[in-house]
Amino acid sequence: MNVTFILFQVGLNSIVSAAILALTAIGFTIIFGIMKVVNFAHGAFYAMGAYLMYLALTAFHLPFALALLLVCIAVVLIGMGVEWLLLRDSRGDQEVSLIATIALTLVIVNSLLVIFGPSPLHVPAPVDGTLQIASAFVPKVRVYIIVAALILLVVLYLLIKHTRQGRALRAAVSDFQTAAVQGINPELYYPLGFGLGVGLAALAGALTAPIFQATPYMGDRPLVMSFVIVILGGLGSIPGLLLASALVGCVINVVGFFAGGTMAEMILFAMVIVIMLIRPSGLIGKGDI
Amino acid sequence: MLELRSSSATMSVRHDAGFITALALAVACIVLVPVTHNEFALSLGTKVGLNTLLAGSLTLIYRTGRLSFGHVGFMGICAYVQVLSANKWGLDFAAAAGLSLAVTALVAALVAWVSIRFKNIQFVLVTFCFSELMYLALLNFVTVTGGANGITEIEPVSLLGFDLATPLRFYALVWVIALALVICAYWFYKTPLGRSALAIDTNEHLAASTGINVVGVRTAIFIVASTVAGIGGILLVQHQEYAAPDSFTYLVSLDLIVIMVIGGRRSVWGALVGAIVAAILPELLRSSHDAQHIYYGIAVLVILRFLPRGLASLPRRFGTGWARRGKS
Repeated sequence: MNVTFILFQVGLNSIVSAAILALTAIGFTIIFGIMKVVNFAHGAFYAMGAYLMYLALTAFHLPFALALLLVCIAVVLIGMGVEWLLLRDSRGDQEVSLIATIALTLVIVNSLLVIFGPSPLHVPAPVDGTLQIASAFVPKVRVYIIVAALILLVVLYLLIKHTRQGRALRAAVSDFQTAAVQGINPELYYPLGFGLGVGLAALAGALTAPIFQATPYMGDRPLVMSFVIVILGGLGSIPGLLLASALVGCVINVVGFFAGGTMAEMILFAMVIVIMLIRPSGLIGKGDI
Repeated sequence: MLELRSSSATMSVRHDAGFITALALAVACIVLVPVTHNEFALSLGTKVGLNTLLAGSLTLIYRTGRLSFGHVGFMGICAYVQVLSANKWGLDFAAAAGLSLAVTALVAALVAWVSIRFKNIQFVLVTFCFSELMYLALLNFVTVTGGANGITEIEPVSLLGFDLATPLRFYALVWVIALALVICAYWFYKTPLGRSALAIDTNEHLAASTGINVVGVRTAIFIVASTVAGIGGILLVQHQEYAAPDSFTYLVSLDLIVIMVIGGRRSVWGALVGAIVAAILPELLRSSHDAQHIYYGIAVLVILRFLPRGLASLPRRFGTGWARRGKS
């Protein structure tokens, strides 16, 4: 193993993690921004995305991009239904909503377990083979996933930043009450916010499935990491979120490569506590939230 | 909301008789379990007692307006320090327990110093990171903690030379401690400090403006409650007769929060009621083996949907319902 290889390998993995984490965390921040709920079911929807992707690719033999789109739409609709059915009555009550999402996780994860079984499922990759970059060989699928994730991030950014609906969503995320006064309909944006949030989690799960395989508990770490990223970046700050995603992705992969996964996570959590001490409102926080 | 909470506080003061009745009922149930001579029931009962202790101490912190995810971290530290100091230095059970509780209180003070000034959401994250850090440390420092395999060499529990390790005596020990916590909590909320805590829970800023030292009260309660979690950790390890990192993951925090909320977040009985439900419900659902966790999740959702203030609010709900009907 030479230095270039290590650089490529670790660097590439860092970018994959960062992009996937950013997608997951944007969903998390939308939900937290609108509903003020720490969505503990985020990881469950992430796993649901991966399994739906598995179904779409193996049972219905859909093309990869179409499958991705359909999975995302399906989970957005499921999420809206879930919000309307289960979370509507506890809007504004943080703890009840929190427990509801924990209970939801139990239901979703164990349903996946019962339906698909505990063993990891192999989700077919959109492309095979490896790519030679300088002296390093990189699986094409990773490059594909990175490109897809980055395209999705850019599209998402444009949608949120430059469309009317995106502006309404941002308004709802940053200050829901004021947004409601300005005519943004809570009856629409509560379910829509939750649906979009978990839809993004599912998208991230579906994207990573070809690399990491699908297991019912695959969402555990992404959930924890989204939580870390959202607070670390500063609540409601998209640039902060991207910066925090990059930071977390790098720490996990670089430290993980040299000192092992547990050590990487220990360093990450210790780092979070230290950063919170120095900058309580996050890396790019807008003061007191 | 504000009015409701303060009136429930004064009601609990007026209802000493209600508390004593509930206590008598609880004691009767606790005494009845061993009479059945059913080993399984005894083990389940011990588990309920443990969860009452753990979720009860979590409720103390919750009633200062903060949701702690650090509980499981303190359980882990305390249990491991107790077991390791007993094994390595040959301390007897009580001395090792005293040492480990002191260490736990110290760590709790440190965590409180770091986290208590944060808003709830940041507090959740920082306490979460702390407990995850503890779990990973237990997993990672194999030479000291035994890593994922944990420690199976556990010195049995005894106090002042009196052996408490038989299932029945251990059951009694757990429940004495758990009920002591419930009684202390009931008494505590009548003291000035307890009233301050309730005031902070109701309206932090208003409480501060009346001269209550919000940070001080929170810190004190956090340290005490986290140390109680440490006692729970020691007892848990004794109950399962091994210490392993897997008993101290963040999933335990989630379990405790579920117990607290379905039982009743603002009641001294909430933890007990929640612990009973959380122990019995999965047993009832055991017949549908694979799907049992699904049904458990659904049951929790149903309880939340219809009783967001928890099961412990049921008697009061009926009570006020009857009272209203009586008046009209």
